[in-house]
Order: sequence, then structure tokens, then C-alpha cells
Amino acid sequence: MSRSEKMDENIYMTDSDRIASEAMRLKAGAQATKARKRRGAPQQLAFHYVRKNDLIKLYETFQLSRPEPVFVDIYAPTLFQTPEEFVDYFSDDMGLWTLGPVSAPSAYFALHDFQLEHDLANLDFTFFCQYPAVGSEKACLFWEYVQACAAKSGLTRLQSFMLVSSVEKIALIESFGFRKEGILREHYFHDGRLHDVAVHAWMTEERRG
Amino acid sequence: MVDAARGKTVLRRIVPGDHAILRRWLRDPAVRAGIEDDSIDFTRMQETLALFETSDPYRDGGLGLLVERRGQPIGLIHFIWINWISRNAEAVVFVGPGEMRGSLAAAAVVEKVGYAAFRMLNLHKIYAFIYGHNSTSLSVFKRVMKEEACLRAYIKPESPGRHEDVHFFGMLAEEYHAKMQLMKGRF
Repeated sequence: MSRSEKMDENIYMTDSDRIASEAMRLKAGAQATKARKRRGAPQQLAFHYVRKNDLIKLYETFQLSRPEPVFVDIYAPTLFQTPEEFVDYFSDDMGLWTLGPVSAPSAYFALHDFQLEHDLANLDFTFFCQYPAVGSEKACLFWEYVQACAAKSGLTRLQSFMLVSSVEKIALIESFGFRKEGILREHYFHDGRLHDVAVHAWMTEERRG
Repeated sequence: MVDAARGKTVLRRIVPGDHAILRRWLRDPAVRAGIEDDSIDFTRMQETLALFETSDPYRDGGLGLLVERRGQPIGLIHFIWINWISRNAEAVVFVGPGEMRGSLAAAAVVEKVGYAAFRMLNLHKIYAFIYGHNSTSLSVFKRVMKEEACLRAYIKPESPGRHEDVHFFGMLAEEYHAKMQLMKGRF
């Protein structure tokens, strides 16, 4: 297989890949629902919306514990060199939530870079210790929570940019129904080398048309 | 001027004397419909033209350049989001005269994007977003750059209808240099 064929294969999923991924997602969801039913009332993940005053505290936590670059984006992969930059970015009506207290969160997610004229935004998230297993109850609750937040903001497309080396994170997001839309080659410089960035997106049924 | 006399395509900074032609190009509905650039505001033409003229790649991460062929302006290249750490930038490009779009002259303009990015600015990569409906640009970019992603249903339609895809094209410095070896200065 030539290099370009290999690249094309990476960019576009075939219909059978899509069906398989959709089936995997549905199966994972059904398993989690069953597990929840067995345990009784549905549990919830205690995400907290991060208020403006807490952003600096969260920035300090990021500096200590964030294992990956912050908010990989197409335009300006952002490392937020200063707390002021971080606060500036998130003060602008973006959504940032943490699982657990801001001073010691076990995870966070953000809806940012809103393009409201197109009803879309970027999703970024990190579980600091370990990502929930694909299809686990925790994974499903997390995704339900994100979807509810996105729906509240009227978003019908969520996109995510991740280093291709973030294997666990990519597997998790694909289990939520995100589809790979391509790989941005040698797009992001981090830790002394250029990285490929994977682009994934999820959209509502209506938008998919 | 020597290059212009030989019929070569050359690049230069934008000067106040270019405003009239740029204004004419930017009024063209085909140009408007194809441009994916937040910094271009059609309702504030004077500011947009001033931005092309004064943009500084180090200060504000942008650079506006005019492409000339035989002494006549034929296109505009606007680099935005220049990232000096990852050494990449988004290129917004358009060919002014309608009859030249999709022609060899258009390919020459796109080649100049590579020249400016890789020989002048020493970037590692350039990229561009092309709307799905813009079949002329798509055919030119497919010849010159590599399609890296297709952002599906990205653009919300103005009236009820299907969302539109946006195509992401990228070109690495090594690919540009290899291409230039093959073309041996045809432009």
C-alpha cells in the first residue's frame, strides 16, 4: 500500500467501519444501562461548572497534573503560557467543568471555541489518572453529561482534536459515536517533535441529515 | 520588474495603490462565497485592506501578499494564524480575475503560497480550508496539496437545507520542495 493510499484509508472510514463503530457504541451503551439497572437508581457524575473566580486555581492544577498539551486545536494549539491567557480564554462564555473539586479534580471537560453561527464547538477532556473503560458506566455517564451540556448550548456538532498518540482517549471518544474526519499531519510541536493531530466529530442525527 | 518582464509570477507586499483592485475583487460574489477568513470583514472594507497592508507575521501572525503576473495583479495570499512554535500557518488564497480561476495561473498563485511559506518564512507546513461547494478551488488544491481531513456538515446553511462540508488541505515543506524539483521553475 502506498503512503498516499494509507493516508486516504486513515482519513475516511468505510461504511462497514462506520456501522461497526456505531454497533460498538450501541452495545457499550446497552451494557452500561444494564449495569446501572442492576445497581438500582442511575448514578450521576458530580461535575462542577468552573466559575470565573476558580479559573486561576484550575490553571495551577493543570500545570501540576495535566499529562497532555492543553486544548489541541486546529488554529492555535494552546498551551496557555500564563494564567491570564487561560482566564481570558475561558471568561468568554466558554464552558469548563471538573469532576471533583477545582483544587483536586479527577477529570475535566470543556466546550470551547464556539462557532455559534454553525452550532458547533470543540470538546476537550482529560481524566487525570485513568480514562474510563470503553462502555463502562462511568464513560456513559460522562458522555450523557457532555451531550446534555452541548444540547443546552444548542450545539449540534462537537469536534475534538487529539494527538494520535492519545490512544485511550481516541478509543473512548469513538465509542461515544465520534467519527474520524482526518489526520492533520505534523501539525503540532510538543516535547521536541512534531505530532500528527487526529480530528474527530460527533453530530446530531438531524444535522447528519 | 525583471521577473515581470519575463512573464514570471512574482510576490510583493500590498501598497495603498492596490486598494482599488482589491476592493473590486472582494466585491465579487464568487470570491466572497469562497473565503474562509475571520479577519476579512466585508462590511469594513477599509480596515480589511489596511490589515492586508500592515500585517506583520511576527507581531500579529498574519501576512498579506499580492501575486503579480506580467506586471498585473492576479491574486491575493493572506497567511493567518502563523504559529512560530509548530511553524505552520493557514493560507487564504484567491485569484482575482474570474477567467483565471481554475487555470494554470491559479496553480501559479497556489505555488506562490508555497514559495512565501517555505522559502521566505521558513514554515514547516501550510494549510487551507476549502468549502465543499467551491469546486474550482477544490480541483486546484487537490493538484497542489494533500487533503488531510473532511469536516463533515460543518457549515450551517443560510436557508433550510443540508449542512456543507469543509475540506482541509495541507502541504509540508518537503512536499513543496519535491514538487518544485519536478516542475523545475515552470512558474
